[in-house]
Formats: sequence, C-alpha cells, structure tokens
Amino acid sequence: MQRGKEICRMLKEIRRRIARENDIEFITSECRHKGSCAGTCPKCEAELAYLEEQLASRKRLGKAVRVVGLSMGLATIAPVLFTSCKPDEQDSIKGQLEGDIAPAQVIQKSE
Amino acid sequence: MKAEVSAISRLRIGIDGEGVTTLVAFMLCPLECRFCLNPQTLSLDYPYEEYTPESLYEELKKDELYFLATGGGITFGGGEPLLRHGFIREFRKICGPGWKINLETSLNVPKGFLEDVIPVTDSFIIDIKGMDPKIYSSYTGRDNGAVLDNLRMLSSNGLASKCVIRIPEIPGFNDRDALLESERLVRSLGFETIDRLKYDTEYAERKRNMQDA
Repeated sequence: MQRGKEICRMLKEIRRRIARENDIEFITSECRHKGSCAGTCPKCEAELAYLEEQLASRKRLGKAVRVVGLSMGLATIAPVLFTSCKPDEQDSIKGQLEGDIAPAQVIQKSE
Repeated sequence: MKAEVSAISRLRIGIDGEGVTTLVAFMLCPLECRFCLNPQTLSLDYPYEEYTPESLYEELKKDELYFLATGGGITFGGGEPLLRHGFIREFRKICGPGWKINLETSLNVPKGFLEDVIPVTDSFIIDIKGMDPKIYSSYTGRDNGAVLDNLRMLSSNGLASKCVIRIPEIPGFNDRDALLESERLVRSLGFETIDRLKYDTEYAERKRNMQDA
C-alpha cells in the first residue's frame, strides 16, 4: 500500500508541474483514501483526463504546450521505495491476471 | 499482426527504465528457468490477451503525459519480447519517437531478431543469468551461445551504453566467484552498467506451485 501511495504522490506532482508550466488552473487535494492503493484511482485518472483536455484545448488555440521532460529524473527522487518489485496492485490484463508480473529483486547495483 | 500479452503493468517508477513506464509482458520464452518469476508466460495454456500494435497503443496511451514528462515509456518483457520483434517495430511506428521503448530480454534469440529492433529501442535490460555455459545450461535448459553472440554484436555496434546487464545470484546454481567472473567478462566486452540481483526463489516457487495447482 505504501508503494502505491508513493506512486500516487509522485504522479500528482507530475500533474501539478504540467499544469503550472502550461498555465492551467489545477486544483487538487491530498488523497484521504485509507485502503489499498494502486498508485492511481478514478479521482487521479479524472485529473489526468482534465489535463489532457486542457492541453488539447491550448493546442487548438495555437498556444504552445510544454510537457516533454518536465519531470525528468523522477526515478531518482525515491529510489529506496522502488528497488524491489513484487506484484503490483495495478498489474492487470483486463482483470484476468492481477498481480502477476515480478522481475527479480535488486539487492545491489554497481556501475 | 497480433501478439499474446500476459499482463500489462502501469505506472512503474524506477523499476525497468527511466521515468514512468508501463510493462507489457508477452507470452512465451525460449528458456525454462528454474526460478522463473513469470511462469504464466511460458505456455499459451495460461490466460493471455491478444493485441495488435494498434490496439496495444490505444490501451497504453492513457499514460502518455506521464511518459513524455518523465522520459518514460514502454518496457516490453515477458516471456521473451524479442520473439515479438516485428510487433515491436510496428508499435514504434504507431507510438512515434516520444515514448521510450525498453526491452527486458535474455538475448537468447537469433541475431536477426535483435537486429530488427535495434533501430527502435532506447535501452536494453539484459538478464544474462551468467556467462558460464554449464551454469547457464543447468539453470535455463538452454545453451548461451546466442546470448554471447548478441552481447558481442551490441558491443561491436557501439550500443553498450544503451544496455543494463543484470547478473543474478541464483541460489543453488552460482556462487560469488561465478558472479565475479561473469561481471569481469561482461565488462571486458565493454558493458559498464551492471545490476547485481538476487532471485527471490521463494516467490518463484510459490508462483510455480500456484500455476501447477
């Protein structure tokens, strides 16, 4: 659950940045959901859809849209939380195989 | 053109590629690894869903803003994604150059499969299991000649910097000396980014038992 909450927090921050960079009014609130979280939910998806609509609208008006690279380096923000991978709550294939993808657990990295 | 997909995992961060990624796990693999973590991909007797490159793009594009903002994209795994080299090439034509495409592969495929996707792939995450042919064979049931040839091909084409080499500790199959020797050989080929892993054998066994039940 903690991992899902952290993903949710990071995605919300990405949405905030996209909105800010494109002068889009964006009002969001902290999630108060207490249960299991897959990193997204209908409220988060609705915020994303709203952004997409606003960006599309800006394009139609001939305004510049800036999205690419706004949140580069995201993976370095919270590496500890994401170095091991067990089945994800958001894994799916239309509901047939929930939580069934699992790469190996990273215990050490050297470059 | 269709491909069988075992699962789609959205909104992955820092696991298999830069930024926010979606993992697409294809069915089927040439290897039979003792501790395979995704045994449900090994046979078409298990559930899967068919996608065309177009229908897969429609499924995945909901996260395009995240991909573009973070330098993320799609990681094709499985199973062995290089068995779907033609599908991946077609998918790139549809998704365009903005999404990153990463491949999580064993490289144990004919050279032509790899050559086919090199122009459309941003990074390769390569689980080599190990460089020792005997250990490799005992663990996967297959020879690693193609893996070594493909590693050399990537290196000689100046693509080593696009590769992350995973060298796993596999309980009961390799030891510290074997790991160090594998790392030495990989580095001698010019690869510099190396992940050392430990397979979660308990999890793999649980998955296998669930599949067999």
